[in-house]
Amino acid sequence: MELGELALRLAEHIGAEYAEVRYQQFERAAMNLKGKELTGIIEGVDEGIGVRVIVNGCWGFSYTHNLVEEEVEKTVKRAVKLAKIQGGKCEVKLAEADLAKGRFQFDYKIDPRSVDLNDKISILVKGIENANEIAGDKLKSVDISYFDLWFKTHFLSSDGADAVQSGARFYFAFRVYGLTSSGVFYDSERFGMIAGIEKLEEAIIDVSTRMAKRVVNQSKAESPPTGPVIAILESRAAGDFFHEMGHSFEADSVIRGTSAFEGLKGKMVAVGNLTVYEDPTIPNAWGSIFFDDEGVKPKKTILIENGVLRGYIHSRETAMRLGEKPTGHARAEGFQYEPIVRMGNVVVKPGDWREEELISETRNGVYIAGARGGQTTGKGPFQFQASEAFLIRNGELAKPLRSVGVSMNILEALKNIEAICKEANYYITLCGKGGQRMAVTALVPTMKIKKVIIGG
Amino acid sequence: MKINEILKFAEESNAEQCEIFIYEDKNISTSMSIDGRIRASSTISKGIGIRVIARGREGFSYTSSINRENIKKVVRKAINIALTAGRKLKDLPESRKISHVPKLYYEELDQITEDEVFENTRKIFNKVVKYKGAGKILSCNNGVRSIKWKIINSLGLNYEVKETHNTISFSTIAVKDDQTATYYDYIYNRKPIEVEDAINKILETIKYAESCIPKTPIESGEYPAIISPRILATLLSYTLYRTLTAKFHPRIIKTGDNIGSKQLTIIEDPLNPKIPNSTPIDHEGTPTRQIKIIENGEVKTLLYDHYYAQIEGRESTGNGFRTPMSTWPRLTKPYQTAPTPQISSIIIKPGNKTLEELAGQIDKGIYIDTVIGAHGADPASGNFTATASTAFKIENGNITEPVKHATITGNIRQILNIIDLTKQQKLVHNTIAPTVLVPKIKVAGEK
Repeated sequence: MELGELALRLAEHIGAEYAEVRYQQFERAAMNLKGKELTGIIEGVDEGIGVRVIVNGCWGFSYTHNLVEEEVEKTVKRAVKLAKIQGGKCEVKLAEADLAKGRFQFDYKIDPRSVDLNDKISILVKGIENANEIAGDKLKSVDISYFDLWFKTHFLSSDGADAVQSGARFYFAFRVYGLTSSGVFYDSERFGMIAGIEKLEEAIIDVSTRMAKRVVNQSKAESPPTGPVIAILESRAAGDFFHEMGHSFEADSVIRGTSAFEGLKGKMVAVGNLTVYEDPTIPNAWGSIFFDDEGVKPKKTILIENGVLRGYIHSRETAMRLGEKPTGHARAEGFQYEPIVRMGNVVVKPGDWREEELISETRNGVYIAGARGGQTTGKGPFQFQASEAFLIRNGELAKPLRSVGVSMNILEALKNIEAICKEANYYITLCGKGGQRMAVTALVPTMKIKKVIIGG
Repeated sequence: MKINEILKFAEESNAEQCEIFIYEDKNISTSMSIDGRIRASSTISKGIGIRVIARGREGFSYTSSINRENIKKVVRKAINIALTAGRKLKDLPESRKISHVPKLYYEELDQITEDEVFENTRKIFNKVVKYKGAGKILSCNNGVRSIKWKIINSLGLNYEVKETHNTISFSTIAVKDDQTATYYDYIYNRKPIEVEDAINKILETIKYAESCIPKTPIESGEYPAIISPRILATLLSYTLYRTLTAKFHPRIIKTGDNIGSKQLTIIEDPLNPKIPNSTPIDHEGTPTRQIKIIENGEVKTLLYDHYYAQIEGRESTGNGFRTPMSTWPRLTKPYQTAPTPQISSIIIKPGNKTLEELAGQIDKGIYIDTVIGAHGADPASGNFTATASTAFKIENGNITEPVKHATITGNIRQILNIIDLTKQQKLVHNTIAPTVLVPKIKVAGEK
């Protein structure tokens, strides 16, 4: 990338003690289906360069879409100027890191760019037909928002990172509108993976089957009880909980004082059989990377080990601030954004239970499956909306419950985990933080928590 | 490549009609936080989106690298999409007279430099960080945005809009006895925001955060409730605002439906410069106007863009906006997407009471100011669940202690069954709303 090298040289020449350049290219197709009718479609290519510098200990950032020498030079000068106007009143330092060099590619078989739009639509329509077949007249309509992407990032830094990562990914949101005696209700599930189109049909059939079954159950659901209950969180619901809790492992929130885990390193924060780690290196998982947006190779990072808080996830700057090592978790939505500390894939070590055993052991409780709308204030409560819920009576799923909202305090909930299952499914999302969205997952087994607050 | 050349090239490439959307924005953003982190960015973004009609179908593509070769590629791609998978569209919008152009642009904000923006942020932060108490500033961001966009089509439509925006956003925290309150707010103006105004607002917010530190649990039950403008606007954006656009399917709401009390009047007011989304034309060139969407609880109209208006044989309401499609990394610039019907700028008609007068009507109830998790709301049924992050008990007509951990559930129609409203309003994203008193809301507490 000649322009990148030019940008690095120029930045150093005009005063940057550190500079990094991120060139990114995205070739995408996106479409919306309302039933089998196409309501929106775009294809496009985006590329550009983001430039971040440190001058006199201060950060400056800019970007350009316009990849000609003159515009790249202007971009570098803008970034350097922004750092200089801060008058050296910041003391940014970066921790030493294992910087990436070389070319890395995620495996895929069928490049999304090589597939005709109508063939992609045909695969998505199979999911709609499948849902209609399973749910019958309980399903009023289905919407799908879909996109696929071929992506490439070339990262260069003045301290030696020079690496390229590329691959393909697809993602869809499957939205259903079901019928009850009182009207229409809505539910949705999102799915994404780093893969080619070869995986799309299997994914859409899997999600559409699950959603259609939910529609059938929810069509006869009743109002839930209100207040504290014993809950079994199915894997994806538990995934939402651990994802939201995961924000408290992000070192920037620890430094800012908004993390539930601030000041608790080395202390018991959960039940003794809970081990949690962050791993952006899982092959082809939705939240995986070969290197982060500071050029750092990520590594599996233990967060909670047998109930004890062991660590946080870091950018190079937060690692320096807390005297720890970078973990490869500085990520940006695209070249238009500065990297911030983000999760990749949060994983909870499996336990010994099976889901059926957990249900049969529970006399009174609520089974909660799927989640949407998760949010936390960090030190305060955590909240999400269950996609599906059942009342548990005498060890059996007694009746489906409608519109169940779930609320917990993070630190209380971690100490209220009673049992962890063997099986886990990916909770997949595009998480918002600091004005950016990020592809992240959580792989968390189904678990039983002895007190959550539900409403509905 | 000049506009006429693009139109001619599209025509020669077998497009029956062609629309060009040209967009340019300049962003300066500086932020400071309590952990010593300072960020500064300055960016300029340009792009072009091209929509065509070919063989009676619509195609769209875009580029952010504006040069002759790329523009030709975009035109060809849009035509290819129209021919292979595009939706049916007869015509693009025709040129119409714009009745009123609100003042959306101030040169003094457009001309502001990075140095000045940073200096203002520094002055604000350095003043408010000195506050001593249980509350403190967490971070403050000062963002200046200057936007120019043009819409041109082969039917002779040709408009240009210039906008400026200054937003100062800040988050605060207050901690006492292991209990925490966090509170976020912002100030918005199309002109440069005065430093003193920002300082006063932030200090006021820090003190308010201190008064929000949770104290007592609340018993589960149903209570009459006072709902803040922030919650009202947030819940509406995840429920009613979606179902009021003509693209929402299945159609939950129809003209003539009664969906709230007589107190409820919702007006689309895209000519009001106090709302950031306001504009005299929409993103496909249809003039906008003030529209009563809901009057005294009754739905008067849904909102249409040109495409959905054609399907239903009626006129666009001027609500064709280019908003992000579900993709990642997001396409956040309007030139990157084709128009769809969207709510633009909303005013909820206020009442004539104060907050205290609303509370005076309640013996035992709850005042809810902020929530988390409302984005999981069900737009079809209107059901929602959220956890109150700032809420207070109402006892004997007075707002009393801040509440610990209350989960609220209900339906948007319950919320719209408004008994009374305040005179004072607040801007929340694209809505100017009052505080409202509603008959009941279900609360799940720790007891």
